[in-house]
Amino acid sequence: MNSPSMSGPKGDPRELGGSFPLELPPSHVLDRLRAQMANEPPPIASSPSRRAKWLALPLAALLLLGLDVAVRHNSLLRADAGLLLGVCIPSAVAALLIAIVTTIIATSRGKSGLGERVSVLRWSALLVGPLSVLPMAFLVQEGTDHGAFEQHLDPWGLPCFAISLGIAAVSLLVLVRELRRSVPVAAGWRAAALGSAAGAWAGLALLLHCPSAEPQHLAVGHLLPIMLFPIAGMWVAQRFLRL
Amino acid sequence: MRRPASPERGRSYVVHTVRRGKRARASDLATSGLDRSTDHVGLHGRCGVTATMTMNAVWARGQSSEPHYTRGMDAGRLLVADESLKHDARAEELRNLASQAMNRYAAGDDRAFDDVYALLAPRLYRLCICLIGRTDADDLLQEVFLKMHRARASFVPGGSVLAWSFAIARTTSIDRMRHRGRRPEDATSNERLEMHAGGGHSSPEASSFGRALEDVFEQKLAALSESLRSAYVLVKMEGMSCAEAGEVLGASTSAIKQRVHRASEELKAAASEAGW
Repeated sequence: MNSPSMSGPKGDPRELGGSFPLELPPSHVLDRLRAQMANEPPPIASSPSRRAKWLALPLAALLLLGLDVAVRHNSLLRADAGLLLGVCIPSAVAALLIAIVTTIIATSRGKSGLGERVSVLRWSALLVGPLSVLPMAFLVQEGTDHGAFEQHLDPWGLPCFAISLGIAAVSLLVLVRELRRSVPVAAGWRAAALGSAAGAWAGLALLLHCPSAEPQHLAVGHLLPIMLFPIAGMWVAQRFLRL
Repeated sequence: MRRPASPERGRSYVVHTVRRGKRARASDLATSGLDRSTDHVGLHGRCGVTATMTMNAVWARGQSSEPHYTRGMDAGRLLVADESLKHDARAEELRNLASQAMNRYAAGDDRAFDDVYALLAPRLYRLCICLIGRTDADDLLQEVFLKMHRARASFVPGGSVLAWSFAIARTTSIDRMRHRGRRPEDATSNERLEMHAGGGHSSPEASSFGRALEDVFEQKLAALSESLRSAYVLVKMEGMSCAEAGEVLGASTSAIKQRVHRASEELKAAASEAGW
């Protein structure tokens, strides 16, 4: 590589802006940098384009709704339940909206490529738990007529809790991989927002899977993982987001 | 450095005043015919470079368009009376050049690194000095470019490479200071002397009386909290808009304005305590 000159490609970088004089860094910085760069592996593959992401979200939503319809009209798909299970549509729509919005907030890069502001990420991480009460409230209000099936459900929803943790962990892994070492701002709160999005997708999955409308079951098995995952995201995922 | 041919009334200008043999004071604004009541007076300085009093002055409304900076300054002279660089077309053009070079670099053209380095290194080096001190600035700059190299594929085409690189520099400086458990004001006296010696831009006037102010400024700037210091450095010293600085720091525009205001107030208070 040729040695870069102070004049740059077309102009003097001293004119690049700012109110105070500029000076060139010592030449050994560039020498050491080139030596390090020569030993670097090829760059991480580019993340999917924004357009692909925007297309993927409605497609995923349509897929989930299709699955919902299929489950509702084919008891064979619910081999575990052995009967036809209905899904409370307002609950499913509310959970789906929460999952999509939190995912967009957490993964958005914006025009500058630096993502959403800290305050937006913070609100996303903090509000997803309280907002997830809403679809569950719809469910409790509507109730279910799966009395025989509900007798087999764990009253504290521990199996649901375990399933939810697994789904949220996989979701978080996928979302973190999408943003890994690419956004240099607010890694902690971005990780928490990713955790909240992962929890929201797990909440939606459980809503479609488990017919329980018992508040105790819903609180522990369905809601608690959603509350926990922003913390888990901030604790675990931020080290993978840092540039 | 240039003077505007005919200053426009009510428009913001950056004015550097240096009084020969005397310390520049805020009262110089009044003697030069500027309206102090509407002025935002702030202190600026830079490690190792001319540190003088800088005033973001607003030309008095209702007065003639005569360039007032020629009036009442017989005891000294005005070094700069320049429009804010924030909206400078040339700066904008060069920012675009830097972004274009980064786009090529992100797309896999390794030769574009030369352009990226040539355009960004001086700006980033200055920022590194302000964030972490001159001693560690070399290592920080190297680490920042290495991180940019590793993450080049994730650069959003069309994004602001300046904001992106500044954000990397800021987070890297925080990590380094956290790792070492120190703040930039822990610089040794030798480092401080080195800072002074490194500034090749000092004028005789500035070196005669600017050093004390520079010391006060550097110490107080380094003692500010990280959020205040970063906001102040980006807006007041790097010439970014509050919106751009907000993107770099992940904060809203109003939050940046508040931080810059608080930092300016603290710096002014420190200068007042030191007798300026």
